[in-house]
Amino acid sequence: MGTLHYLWIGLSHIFTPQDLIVLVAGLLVGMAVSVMPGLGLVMGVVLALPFTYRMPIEPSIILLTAIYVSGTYAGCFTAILYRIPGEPMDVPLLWDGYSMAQKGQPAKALGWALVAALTGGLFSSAVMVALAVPMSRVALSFGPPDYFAAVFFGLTTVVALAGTSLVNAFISLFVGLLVATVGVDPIYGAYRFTFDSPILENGVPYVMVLVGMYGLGEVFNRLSQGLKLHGEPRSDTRVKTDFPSWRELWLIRKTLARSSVLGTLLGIVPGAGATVTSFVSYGIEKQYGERRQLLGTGLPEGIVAPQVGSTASVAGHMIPLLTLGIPGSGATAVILAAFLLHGVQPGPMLFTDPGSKAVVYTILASLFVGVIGMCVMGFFWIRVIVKVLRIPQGVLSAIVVLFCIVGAYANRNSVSDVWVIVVFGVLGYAFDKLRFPISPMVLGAILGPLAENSYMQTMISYHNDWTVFFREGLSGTLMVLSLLAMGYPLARHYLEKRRRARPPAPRAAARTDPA
Amino acid sequence: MPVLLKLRRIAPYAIILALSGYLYDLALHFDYQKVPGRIGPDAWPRIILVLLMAICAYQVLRLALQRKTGEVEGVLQSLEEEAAPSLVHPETEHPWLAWAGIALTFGYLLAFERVGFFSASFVYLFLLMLVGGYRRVLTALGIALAASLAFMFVFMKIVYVSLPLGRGPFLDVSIGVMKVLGIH
Repeated sequence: MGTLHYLWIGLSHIFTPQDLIVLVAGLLVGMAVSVMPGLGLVMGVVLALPFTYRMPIEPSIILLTAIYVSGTYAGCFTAILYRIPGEPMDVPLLWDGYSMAQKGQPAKALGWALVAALTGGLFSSAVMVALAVPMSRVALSFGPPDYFAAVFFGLTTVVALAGTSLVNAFISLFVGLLVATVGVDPIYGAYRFTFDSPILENGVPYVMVLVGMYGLGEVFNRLSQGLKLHGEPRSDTRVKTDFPSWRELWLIRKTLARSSVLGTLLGIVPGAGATVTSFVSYGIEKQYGERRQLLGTGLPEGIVAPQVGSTASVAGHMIPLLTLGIPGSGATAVILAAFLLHGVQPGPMLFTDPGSKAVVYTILASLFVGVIGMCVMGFFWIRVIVKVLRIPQGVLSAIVVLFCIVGAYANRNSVSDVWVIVVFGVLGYAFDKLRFPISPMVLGAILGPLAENSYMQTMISYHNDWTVFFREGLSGTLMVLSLLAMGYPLARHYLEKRRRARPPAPRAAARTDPA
Repeated sequence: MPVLLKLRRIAPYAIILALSGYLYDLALHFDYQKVPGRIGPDAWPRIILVLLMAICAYQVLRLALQRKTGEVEGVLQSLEEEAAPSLVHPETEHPWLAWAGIALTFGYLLAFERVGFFSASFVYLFLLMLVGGYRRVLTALGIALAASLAFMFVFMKIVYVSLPLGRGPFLDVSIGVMKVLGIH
């Protein structure tokens, strides 16, 4: 009853002019950035951050979450219509979405994507509302070892998921954790890696790491690729959305249910962003779907599964952020930064104070309204939104760089912050060229202070006995899960190697033998 | 594998290894009041640096000995590569364009406070568009002008950020622009 009451209050806040305007603006920005290859929802959230500096907390978070949620949807427009995926998460939509469009049903394909985004978004938002209070109660009982284990789990899953090489992913993570140690240590007041520079005494703000690596680094990287689109927007394409019938929807009910649950659950796992959920949902459909053999030829299930998965992951990601204060992705890290800039620490305490509870439920309510709003906008304004693709890439990149620079400067009116983002931009470019994944480094820089604080507190409380992480129930479970997450890519690699090394079966060998 | 190629592959890891060693040495000499029986502020950075050095040393040795063990891939990467290799690894690379963009950005930052936000951004945007392959010079000039004005208006008038105005004649230009935009 309490939850519904607060949700109702949140809904009434959303429909105040200020919150509604930022919600609509956020949805539009999210759609525009997700349509453009090379921008993406994380950059959209990063670019919007400076505008929240002078806003109250409620509209600030609504703006960023609206960009986040609509950023998982609009990329389907260009993937289905022009075979241009706005983000990697839209790649699975190329197989069935574009194929359906090629068969003369682009409007139907867009309709399936809309229904999928709506279902996934509303389902995961409802799960988030239901889980928020119980999760926050569990989080209240967290001690330092549990916090450390939770962060450790997040970092290991990011490493296991990202990158062309596990070694590079670990290096990236350690560099991020090291960046987080720069500055004056909070317990002893010791100067660490400051090199007598006053700029470094306060540490490296992780928002600057984010803006540099995701914003500038991406632009430099795209400059080196010649800023070309992988596809061509055609003017003769019919840009319209046709809804599937109730009967058609009933036929794919299992796909809708499977992908909604999977997307939400995977969203809770740190590091498993919209891209992972989109691919995994498609993969599960390919293994267990009723028409799995026909997948890839333009089936609705092939559009619905990845789209449901990616949109459902958003609310999933918000759960650890709001209840534990642990961001699991780049976008939620920026949202955490917005919270902190307003002097609010997300975590279980948000759910104990009635004032902050109202803010949290307004944010939760904004996800429901945002999901519905983005679908309405997608239905009516799709023609306008896909026109963003016609903006020349050279012009767009220049504007994005200026946004990053001014955004960094606006934080503290400091040119040194701008130097920091440029340095991290160059580092981001170098990482990309050397095939070091960026996300472990960024999450390392974000979660590093939390990991160090909980580690130090544990060591002080338990007299330097590190086995406590494995002995306590919750932390022990999380540590074992972390080791499993780390072991999974290794096991996968060695099994694959053994499979390749195994000589072909005699019958198969005889069949391929030309003699 | 040719020696040069091998060295090129080893170099990033060797550099990180050397830097980590240097930082580890710095961490050993952090200045703080030691408390008996308690770990100090150097403990956490040292743990990270030891792990970083160990993994870099492993990679250097692996590449130097040319063990054909292959790389252990992250789960997402293999999914993306299986799905659309051309999207993960684009065919054409023009690193000089990126370095030109980086050089321009460094130049912009050096000029930022002296030349002022408006004038510096105008030139920077125009040149960056050219580096980005946009060849309509007059349109690029127009966009650079409009974007510089728009940024100045939004950030100075709406978000209340005091952007640098520059010195000497550039200060006069910035003040003139502010008057036109109604920024006081």
